[in-house]
Amino acid sequence: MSTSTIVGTVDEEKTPPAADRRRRRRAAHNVEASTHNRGPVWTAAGYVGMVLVLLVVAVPLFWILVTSFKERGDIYVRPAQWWPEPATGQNYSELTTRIPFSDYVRNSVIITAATSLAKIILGVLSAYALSLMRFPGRSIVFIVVIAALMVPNQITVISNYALVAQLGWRNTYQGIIIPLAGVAFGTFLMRNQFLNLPGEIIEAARLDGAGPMKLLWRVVMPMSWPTLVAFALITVVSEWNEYLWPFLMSDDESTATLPVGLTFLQNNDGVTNWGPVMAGTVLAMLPILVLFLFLQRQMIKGLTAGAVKS
Amino acid sequence: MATVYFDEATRRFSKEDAPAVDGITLDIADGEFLVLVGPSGCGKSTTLRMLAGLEPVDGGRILVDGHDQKGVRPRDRDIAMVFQSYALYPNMSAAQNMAFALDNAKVSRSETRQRVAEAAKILELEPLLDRKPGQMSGGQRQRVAMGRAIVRNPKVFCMDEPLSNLDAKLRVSTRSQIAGLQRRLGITTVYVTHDQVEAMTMGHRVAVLRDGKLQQVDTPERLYDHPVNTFVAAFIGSPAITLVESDVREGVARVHGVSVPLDRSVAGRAGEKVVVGLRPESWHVVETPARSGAGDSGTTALALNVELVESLGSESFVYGRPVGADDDADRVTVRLDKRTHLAVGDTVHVEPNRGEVHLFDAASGERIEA
Amino acid sequence: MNEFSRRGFLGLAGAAGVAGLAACAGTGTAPSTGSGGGSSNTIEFWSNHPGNSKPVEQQIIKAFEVANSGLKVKLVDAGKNYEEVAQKFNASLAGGQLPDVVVVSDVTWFNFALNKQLSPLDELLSTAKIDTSDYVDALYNDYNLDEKHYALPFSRSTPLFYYNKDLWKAAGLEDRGPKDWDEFLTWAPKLKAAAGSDKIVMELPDGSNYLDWVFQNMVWGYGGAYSKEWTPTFSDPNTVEAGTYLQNLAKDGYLKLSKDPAPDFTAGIVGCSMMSTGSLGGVAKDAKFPVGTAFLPGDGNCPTGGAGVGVPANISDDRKKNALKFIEFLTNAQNTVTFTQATGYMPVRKSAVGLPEEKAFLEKNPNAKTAIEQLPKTRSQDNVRVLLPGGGARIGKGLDQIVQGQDVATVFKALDAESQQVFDSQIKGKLGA
Repeated sequence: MSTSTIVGTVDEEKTPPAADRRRRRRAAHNVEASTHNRGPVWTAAGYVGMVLVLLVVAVPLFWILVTSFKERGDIYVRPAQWWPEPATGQNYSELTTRIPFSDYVRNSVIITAATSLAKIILGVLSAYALSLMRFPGRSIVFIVVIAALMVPNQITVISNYALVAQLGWRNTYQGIIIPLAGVAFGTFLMRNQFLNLPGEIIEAARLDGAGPMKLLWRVVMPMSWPTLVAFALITVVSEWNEYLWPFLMSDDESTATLPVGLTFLQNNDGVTNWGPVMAGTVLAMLPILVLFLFLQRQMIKGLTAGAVKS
Repeated sequence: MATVYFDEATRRFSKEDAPAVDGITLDIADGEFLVLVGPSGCGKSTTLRMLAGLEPVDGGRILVDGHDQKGVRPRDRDIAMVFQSYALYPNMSAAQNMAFALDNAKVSRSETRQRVAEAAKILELEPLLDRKPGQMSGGQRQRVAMGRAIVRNPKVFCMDEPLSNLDAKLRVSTRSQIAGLQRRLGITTVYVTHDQVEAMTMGHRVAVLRDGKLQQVDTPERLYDHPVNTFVAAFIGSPAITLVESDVREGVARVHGVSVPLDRSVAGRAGEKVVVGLRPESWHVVETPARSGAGDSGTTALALNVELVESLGSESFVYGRPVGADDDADRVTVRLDKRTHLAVGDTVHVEPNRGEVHLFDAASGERIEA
Repeated sequence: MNEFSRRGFLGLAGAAGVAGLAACAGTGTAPSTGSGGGSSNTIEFWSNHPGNSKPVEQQIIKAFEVANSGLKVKLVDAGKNYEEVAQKFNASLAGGQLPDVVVVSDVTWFNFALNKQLSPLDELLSTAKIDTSDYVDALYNDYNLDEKHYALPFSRSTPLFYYNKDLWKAAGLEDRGPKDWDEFLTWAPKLKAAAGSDKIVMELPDGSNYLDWVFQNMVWGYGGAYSKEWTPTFSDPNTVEAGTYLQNLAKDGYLKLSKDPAPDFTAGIVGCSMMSTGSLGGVAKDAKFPVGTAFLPGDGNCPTGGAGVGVPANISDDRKKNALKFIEFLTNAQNTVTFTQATGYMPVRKSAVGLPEEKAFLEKNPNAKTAIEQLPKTRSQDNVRVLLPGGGARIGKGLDQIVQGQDVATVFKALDAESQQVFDSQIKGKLGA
């Protein structure tokens, strides 16, 4: 028996020590940066572009904020006032006196929290079943779910309305929450995430004796947090801003949400006093803004997950 | 501790295609280290995954300790697997990775800790126990994957190319570690690889697969010395055996015009056409080619035009084509000891060693045995 | 998402998917007959609170509940505008739980009436012995289909001619609105000279925002109309002349269209405009210059607008009776005064103007007086705008094209054809049925 082996060139590469790795990464970065470096003109153009984008995004937001502190007569003037002069909290107090603002906030918080929670749980569980469990008819169930994603909700609104009205759930929290808890998007998103997980890790966990829930909780979810956070954030934002369904279902401030309530600040047929509207908009944005800043890191990771394979 | 028995085990991925694993029968003894080897796509990984319960068995049976595993869930089979990618849980530390299965099996915390510590000691993982897989090198991850299998003390180890992601040098040292570890633990092991060197050096027995069919199961030595067909002969051994199709006339085969006398017992069974197989070490150099007798029996020494020389220090391999042959003629590989120096373009005369000739039927490729 | 692939997918998977979903969602059988949900002594009033009128609505409701013990009124926030109320009402028609009283605008009522989703009120009115002759005729007859009335006027508005008195003074014009559009044309150059280059003589809402409503005034002023009864008359030479007039105003740089002229007018950038009476309160409050109001140019050429209140068809007779009782109360002389003073809408009762509190109010608010005095000169709008499905939007789009410079005759000819076709396919068969 021949013991000779053709090993080829012996690669000396072992795991580089951390410092070395860092140095290499920096070197790689520099190489990359230098290829992108096209002289001061392009750099300047890049900054101009960034500033433009910033303006496009920030100016309307700034305008909303500034207007919310203006007196009524200062809103429509030429030239435009870029700073409230004099500043007034009047709009904010009017906001709470003209409409039952705190009721709307309470409803929005309850409905958004309940709906988002239901969506996330259902989305994760259904995606898990549709990606990692084997059962007959799985692909048919998935196609039905995807078809649901394709149907705009304006179409299902009427039949949902009929159903909820027959149950006597109009103007109730459950009447608003339950029909919104449908999860085609979450199922789709999370299923793709789960399918992109390395199959061998799932198999390893199965061989290690993990049951379905343990597999989900200890192995699958920890690898999917970024996507889940992104999904959760998207869900919360869209539920917070959801208009059509809460509007159809609610009759008054006992269940109406903020987006519905804020419209009552606008005049139907005449001139709207935009000050309180802007104040309401600012207050409605705040919770989402805080949530976003809180989850931002995970969110960004989630959006780019899969772009770089570690 | 267990025996494994594949009984005509078959796996079909689709009805139209040929089965990925086609009626494999294989009896693995308790404590045996069996290597499944073959080119990629031969069904060796599928066979392993069938044993682990990750693939269904479409025909036949797989028995572990005499029990049919049909319908037994992977987690109930008590089989540990080491994956090519290691498949470590990225969110858990090395210790948690190893303890996960014990945790699932409701093993007490103190025993878990003890078994993890033991495995860590064996695998020299102690300083790494709190690290996550992302902070480890490939070799360290490989050892954690091994540790994860070891702590379970399972009936059977399944290993699916566990060394293929390591660099060459580490592969060689880990090879012997795994073999030694298996000897020490005595756990029945089925090991899949495409690397015949790994197969030959690690396994008690080696099973060669091709297109889902089992070709030969034997000890490494038997496989090398008595390959049952041209496929096994060509697959086992490096550099590869030289196979030349030849006519047989009067008990003499002609290899590139050179007469190779055959044993009488063998010659009687051979048809008119055979495939002659000669390992690189089955040749010797002759200084001056002697003409043997006259006329049609031809010469006994083969003149080779040297095309490539691989020198390994202790020995070297010479690849050459017979002088005067076409470009598409098969190359002949010859092992030389280190005292013989040749360069590309030289001509060398070699003669086959008597009694080291493998003979195969030209039509079926089956070995013609004495 | 790519529109095409989405449709493509719908085509493939839709058949199974949509059908399955619809089945899941279960339109069920709406309890369309009998009670239609709701209780007989609670009156559900679906309103969008036009002109921020929720407090005054509540005030009137309270008075109603005091006057009619045993009856309760539940005021429902049914939308931010008339279209949303119609949308919500539509949903309830599919799903039961109908309201008792619903706000329907000049544009939305007809489709409900045509499909027998609103009750004809005449019989109920005569049973309840309610005198309808006190309603302002033009407003009352706006809800007439086949000699039956399907709503009573509630929050009714008309356009007014708004002008910036400072600019008028600078241009040396009399402090009044133009007699007719020809006179306005003689004023326009002076106004432009006085306004300067960065200001606009006249700004009107664009075609997506009811230009088609105020433009009726110009059309009628030149003797044209959108339609005679159900026959579209866009190609009538008089109508075309009005279109050409509008086009020339834009061409000569006197006219600009915008989503909402009110902010620009209030900011003093715009010399004059035609806007709803509903804007009166807001403009007067926000403007930092004296605001003048006048009749729309011409005589008897002012279109009506705004909304009325109707009663759904498929509710019990008891509920209908109570609903009518509430509607009558909501729109009686006293309450229409209360309501209109709080919002800027028109009183819908002839006798309202005679009430002392209204007299005092008008004394103090001369601009509101303009609107009231214009009321007898109003004219019900042309059918193809308010009664044809999509009529307003269709005409608005055509007018936008004209202002952008397309040939007037061509655009109007196309409008004729389109309107006729919509009438033939969607209305004709249902009329008189």
